[in-house]
Amino acid sequence: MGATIGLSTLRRRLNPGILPGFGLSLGFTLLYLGLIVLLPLAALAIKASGLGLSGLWAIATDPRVVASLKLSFGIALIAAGINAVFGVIVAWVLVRYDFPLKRVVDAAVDLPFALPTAVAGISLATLYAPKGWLGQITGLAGIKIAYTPIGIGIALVFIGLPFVVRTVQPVLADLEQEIEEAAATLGASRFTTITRVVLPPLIPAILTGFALAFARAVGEYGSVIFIAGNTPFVSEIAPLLIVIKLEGYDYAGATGIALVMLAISFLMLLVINLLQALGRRRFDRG
Amino acid sequence: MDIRVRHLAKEFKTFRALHGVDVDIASGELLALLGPSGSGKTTLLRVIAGLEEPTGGQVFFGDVDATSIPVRERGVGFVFQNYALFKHMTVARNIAFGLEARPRDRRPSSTAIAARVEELLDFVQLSGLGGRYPAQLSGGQRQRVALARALAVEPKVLLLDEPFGALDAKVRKELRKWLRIIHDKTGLTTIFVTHDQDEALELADRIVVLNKGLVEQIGSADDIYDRPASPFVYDFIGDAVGLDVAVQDGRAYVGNQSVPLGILLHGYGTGRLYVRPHHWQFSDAEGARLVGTVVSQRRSGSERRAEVELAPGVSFEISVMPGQEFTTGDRLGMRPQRWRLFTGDGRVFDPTVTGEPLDYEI
Repeated sequence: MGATIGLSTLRRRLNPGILPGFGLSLGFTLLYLGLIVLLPLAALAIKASGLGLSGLWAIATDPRVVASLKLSFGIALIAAGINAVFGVIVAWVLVRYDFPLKRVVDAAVDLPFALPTAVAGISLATLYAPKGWLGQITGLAGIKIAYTPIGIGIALVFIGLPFVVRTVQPVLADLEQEIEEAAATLGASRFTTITRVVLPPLIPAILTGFALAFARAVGEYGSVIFIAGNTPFVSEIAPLLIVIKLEGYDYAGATGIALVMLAISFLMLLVINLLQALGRRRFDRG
Repeated sequence: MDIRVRHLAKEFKTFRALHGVDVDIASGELLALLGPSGSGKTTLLRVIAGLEEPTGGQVFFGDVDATSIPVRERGVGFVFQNYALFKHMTVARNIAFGLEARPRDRRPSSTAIAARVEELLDFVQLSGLGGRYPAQLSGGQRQRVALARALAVEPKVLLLDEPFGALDAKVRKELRKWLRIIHDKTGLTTIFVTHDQDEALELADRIVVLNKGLVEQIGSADDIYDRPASPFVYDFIGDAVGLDVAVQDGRAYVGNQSVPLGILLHGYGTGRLYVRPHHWQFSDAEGARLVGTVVSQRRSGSERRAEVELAPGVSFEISVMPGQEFTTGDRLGMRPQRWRLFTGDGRVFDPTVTGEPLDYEI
């Protein structure tokens, strides 16, 4: 009896409005999130807890682990940054201009989503290898791409591109072109119009795309290992180190690195979300 | 700044919006571009602004050919139907935008800009709302911000594209009066586009009626309403009935009934006779040459209207004057007091226009 009263009070307090199905859909959402997302993460935490704090600290400060984490997060950030810039340009072209084969180009943006990552990795590695088509050319300039961190960056840019394009594209399409005309009648140059009128409303979408591309890049494994060369301290990414530990039956060690990655990722996504909340406060008032 | 538009033509990929338009706009004039959708009125405004490049013809600002001057150098203030405010900027930043976007050597100091913004906020009666975002304002307030933003750069010409189109009727009427005041205070040459004839007739010094990319008539509200230059203007402005008539020896025939025209038209021809609902005179059906039957009656606002049938399939509305009482089924003798006849060969006859000779060949 007490529980029923409690539930109805709770329901009133949550104020779900008159749309029916609140209880059912919320229950489903929580169950689904619990099973699909939280349960594996909890298992990860439990497994890693066997290490103890000191064990976890030892793993987190191991020079090889630190090097791989720096590499993974550093290059993922750079790659997401590159995608944020070029993804916006691609989205701009797709929204604003009409050209032959536009639909084909539009569809091609999704290819990195569709392609098995290993296939992407092997093709990139073949292209950029010292004897590959592109590797030969950059080799002339003395730049080695495959089997270096630059190669990792290229793989991460490749897999992250669709995220930025697909999040920015609809927002850009919804942006009234009249605001650009208004800026022009007020005497603003094209550059001022882009930087002060067009880009600011796109920033939340660009940040979302950036966060998605970044999250994907941090965890990327398949496309990277073929092109990375995987030299410890130079081009060895953290996910690879986890796999190496797993193959050596060091499950605790693997989960330890995983937990550290999870914590860093969580913190970074939190910061990005906070930035977005700040942005939303400015744009969507009233 | 006076504006001259010469032989202006604009073709889009699939459609010709303007077919050679000529308009002279005097300095300080408030001009309305009026027409149905697709008449080219917005295109004309956008070409004058420089937002659209004409495919032919020229636009002169004073003596300068402005046709190839880009928008941002043309010095026009433009107000859009849907405000086109910058949503991520406060009201004050919106208004300041044009001044802040100037190159450094022509940009006023930030204190001067702030002072100008305050002055404009005051001018459009939005003092104290400079810190709000557009989303926090009502439609009428947003349009006033848009106007203040356009005025901030001290334009030579003010152009408004259906400025009140997105607002409800009451706000619209208020803003209409207010735009007249703004115009009189600034003394700017102002052109606005509207499809609302009341707005045009009430607000503008002169009205340009456009139809299918051509100018049908340019004139004052009185010219347009009392002396429509074409059947289109008659149909578009105010209520009027257009009767297809045969004209012979000074009479206009509808079926076998006829109206004396009071002018002599020799010969035989066809035309369209236009009469406004309140320009009919009624008499006994007995002995009248034009007889109609009251089919129905209704009230429309302050006025009473009756639907009258002249012949099967030929019926129209007339105004019922105070003191007149009709019953459905009444037969009325009818005679137009004022009318205009557009003959099939494109001539116009109107007995109320002074100086018309009374003898015509048709």
